[in-house]
Amino acid sequence: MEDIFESEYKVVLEAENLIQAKVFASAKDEDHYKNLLHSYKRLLRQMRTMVRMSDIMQSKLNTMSGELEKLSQTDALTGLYNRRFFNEIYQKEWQSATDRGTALGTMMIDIDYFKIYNDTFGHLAGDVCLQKIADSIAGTVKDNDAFVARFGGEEFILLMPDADLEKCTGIAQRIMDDLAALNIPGAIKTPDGKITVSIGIGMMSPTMDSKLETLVNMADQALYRAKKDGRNCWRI
Amino acid sequence: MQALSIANTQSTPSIYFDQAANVMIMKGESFPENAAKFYAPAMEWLQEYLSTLGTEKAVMQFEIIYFNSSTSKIFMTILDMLQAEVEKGKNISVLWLCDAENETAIECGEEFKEDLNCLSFEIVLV
Repeated sequence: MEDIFESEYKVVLEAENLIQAKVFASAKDEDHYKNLLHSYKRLLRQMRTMVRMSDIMQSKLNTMSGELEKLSQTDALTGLYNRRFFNEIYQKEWQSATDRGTALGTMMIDIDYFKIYNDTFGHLAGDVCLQKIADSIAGTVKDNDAFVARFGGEEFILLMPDADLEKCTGIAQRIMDDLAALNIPGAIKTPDGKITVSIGIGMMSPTMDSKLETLVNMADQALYRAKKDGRNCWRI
Repeated sequence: MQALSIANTQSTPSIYFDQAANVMIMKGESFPENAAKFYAPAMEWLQEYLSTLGTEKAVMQFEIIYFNSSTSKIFMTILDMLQAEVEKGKNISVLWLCDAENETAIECGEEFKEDLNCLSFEIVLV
């Protein structure tokens, strides 16, 4: 089919053939038929226009709907995915790992002394710092099949399907190294004068009996240990 | 003849038809559940107005951001009514107002315009 109104045009053609064939009993009948055909063609033109406009409108609404969906998944400040979308992906990956019997790794990343940074340099500078760190983390993990999101204020979270512990710790170290290379000046009380992060790594192969929150709690507890051990380090 | 004034809602446009000023304005979005029912008062008003309209200039102004298919059919019916009056010698013109960045509204205005011959239909970017 080349035209969605192909059948309608066949009707028009058939009607025009009837007029050509002079099959009408009287001139009055023929005129009446011609008028009806004229109206039909006019309404068909209108229908075409309506369909075209409807397509234009729906295409626009479809684009807008896609943009809104993206906005609802994104953290406005950092451009990373937000926590809501993380939870959605986390549930899917959890289910997939449970079904396939594979491991799922997660990493909780927290900026060290960020409250002091904000208190010292102000919240706007804090926002810029968050953006730089978010960009750095996203850049580090971009080729590693990892999902990164902003989890809360100064916390980021990584989800790594099918990852082993070696890969996770390797990524954690690279995140710290890449961030150190940026040399973002820290607040006065930061030990080495630069912005650093602490990282907690959790890893497990979920089963039907596992609780969804277990893995994130593991990463959270590991993060607590990293903070306790002096920050600027990763713990498992 | 009294002016017709209908306030806009989330899914229907505001309508202001004024015989004294010879202007008819529709503004907003148009997704009524039943377009025929929603536009019935406007169509009735318009029929009566056109029957009394002389040679003075009358303007119909659309500023419709988004609209559904039923609305497009109503608008075509309205444009047909206006065109029929112009063919009788009346002085009616249509302004299709749209945001310069709203390509959808501009394209739709062009579609309406394409089907007309003697009725002046001007797309005005605001």
